[in-house]
Amino acid sequence: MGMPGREKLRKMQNKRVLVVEDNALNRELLCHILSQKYQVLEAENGAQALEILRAHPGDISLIFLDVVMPVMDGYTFLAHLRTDSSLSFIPVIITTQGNSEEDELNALSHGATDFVPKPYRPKIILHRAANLIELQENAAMVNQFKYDRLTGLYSREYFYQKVAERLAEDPDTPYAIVCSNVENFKVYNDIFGTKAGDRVLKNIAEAGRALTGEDGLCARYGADRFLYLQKQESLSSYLRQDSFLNKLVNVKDISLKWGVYKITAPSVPVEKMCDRAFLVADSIKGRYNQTVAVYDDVLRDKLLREQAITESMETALAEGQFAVYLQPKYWLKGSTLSGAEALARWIHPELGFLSPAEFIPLFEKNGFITRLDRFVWEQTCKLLRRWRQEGYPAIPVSVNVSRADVYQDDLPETLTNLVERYGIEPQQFHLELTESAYTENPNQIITMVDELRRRGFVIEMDDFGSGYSSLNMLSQVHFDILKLDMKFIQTETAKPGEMSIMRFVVNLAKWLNLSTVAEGAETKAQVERLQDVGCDYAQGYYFSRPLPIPEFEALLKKERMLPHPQGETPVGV
Amino acid sequence: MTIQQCYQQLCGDYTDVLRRLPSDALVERFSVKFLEDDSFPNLAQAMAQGDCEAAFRAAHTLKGVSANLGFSQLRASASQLTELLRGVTGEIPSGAAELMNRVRRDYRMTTDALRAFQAERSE
Repeated sequence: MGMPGREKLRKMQNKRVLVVEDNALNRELLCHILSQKYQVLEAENGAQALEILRAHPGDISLIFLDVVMPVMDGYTFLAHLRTDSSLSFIPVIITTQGNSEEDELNALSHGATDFVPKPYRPKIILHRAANLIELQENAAMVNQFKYDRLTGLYSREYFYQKVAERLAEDPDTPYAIVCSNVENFKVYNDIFGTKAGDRVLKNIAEAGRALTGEDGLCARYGADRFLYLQKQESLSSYLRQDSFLNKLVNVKDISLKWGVYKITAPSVPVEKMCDRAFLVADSIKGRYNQTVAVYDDVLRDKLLREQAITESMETALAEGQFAVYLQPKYWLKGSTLSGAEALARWIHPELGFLSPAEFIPLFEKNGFITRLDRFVWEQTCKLLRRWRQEGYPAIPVSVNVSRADVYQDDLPETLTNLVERYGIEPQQFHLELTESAYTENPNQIITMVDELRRRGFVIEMDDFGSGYSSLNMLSQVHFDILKLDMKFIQTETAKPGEMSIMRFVVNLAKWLNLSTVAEGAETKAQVERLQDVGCDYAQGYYFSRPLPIPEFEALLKKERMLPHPQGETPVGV
Repeated sequence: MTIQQCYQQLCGDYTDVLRRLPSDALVERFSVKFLEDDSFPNLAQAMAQGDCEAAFRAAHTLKGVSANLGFSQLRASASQLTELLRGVTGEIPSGAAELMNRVRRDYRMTTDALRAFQAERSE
């Protein structure tokens, strides 16, 4: 255990001790004693000592101080030292004369840490010096743990502890945890530099102190995140006035999001309370017009459900809780079943039938979507192989390719291997890519689509019109089929026919040699409008909801394996 | 003359000083330095000028130095003078002159012994 003696000695010698004493002989004697273990600096009076201390900031571990000195005596020096926050932590040993209790009391009451009497006893002096230095270092470590270095606010851990204490001391007052974080702080740091960023953080800390007042608690959680404890009664003033909080932090280009968790049950661990405050603050990220949100039961249920979903997704995939459903696509000219979109459905053992609108965004966030996509692709290939074996018509089935999949360079390889393994023609296996992938990284999707088409896959551009649709995308990405988002058709029928944006988009698509598929066709009127504007295909509840495979197969048998009334067979989509 | 004999001559506590400065060489080194110490000259000057606060500081220092060096007799008289002057502002109190005489006598005894020791050593 421990370091070798020589190393230990070297480390101790690196520590600096300051001797403040006017009498040369006394000073020399004390320096001689201390120099066995420390680097010793000398001063003849208090004024000189302060100069030395300021020239060696943070570098002096201990001070030996004589009281009776000319120019600046020991007690005056101590008063200066204790009011200077950069020096006040240094322990001071007063060298007293004799063993007068009065002297000793006087020394301690003036802020001395300890005293040693004259005549000097070297062994005792060295022991006291070592003890005090160690004590001070431990205290410094504790302080480091308690306070944030940059802002001087409490550290996260210490805040938790202080909050728990306060709640126990004052159980009848309703308190709230308030948190704040800065929108796009990383971007701010990146543009203006870390120093400017640090200034912003200090500003926020100041504002937090002002906000919580004397009986509040403030902490820096880390990075640009801050935590406060406040009485609920003092919340109302700013919860009603949204802009109030951001005016507090008077920095241009900075926007803060605030989360409030009202403490109702002190049995909830403080850590969890703070997590909840941050969850609610994060839930309004990117919402320009909202700066404060309060954690409530609705959010709580939503988050708990999300958590339940995230926790069970792996098991669900392993245990086959996901099923592939097929939503029929119809050729609009002849109302013929001409294809399908494969969709994942999750029948959760406890939560029941889960809507993809609920779990897909979650999987997109946590990356699980790529696993689910691969599952659907494989199931679909299996199905297409069976259909071929059982003599079903070779209608195409489209599958979803998420943004995360597009970023995987081996995607074309993976898909080719898959269709080859099941003996499927790639033309029958349509890939639906979402338009938002283009917005995020145009070049990636342009190259990816070209490569996939070179390998024979048919590419459908999904969700067109749902986000920031771009005409550039239409001209740059060489896909085959344009899928119009359901929002298109829903707003479309409310407008007069001649003003139709949809007609324009469909014509544009035709001009680019693209087929069009409309999603979300629900009413007869909508379908008639689609036929009117010349859209090629449609899917939606008007025709059919997504069906379990056996039901879809029954429909397929009925519609396509019997002689077709119109006698015209669509190419299929 | 050994340093121990020197301490006997100046009525000092050699055992105590040797316990604290644990070698004859060190005791010798520091004790002869007392000949250059300015606390007694400062005290004499302040007393002559009637500067009570300066006299207190000097007496206090002299007491500390002699304590550190184990000069027991000088320490005792310096200590008495220090206590008499402590907290006094203005005129030097009566009785200080008499105590000062004792300090002077003890100082001379001490420095005489030290000089004799030093002279013998340098022969």
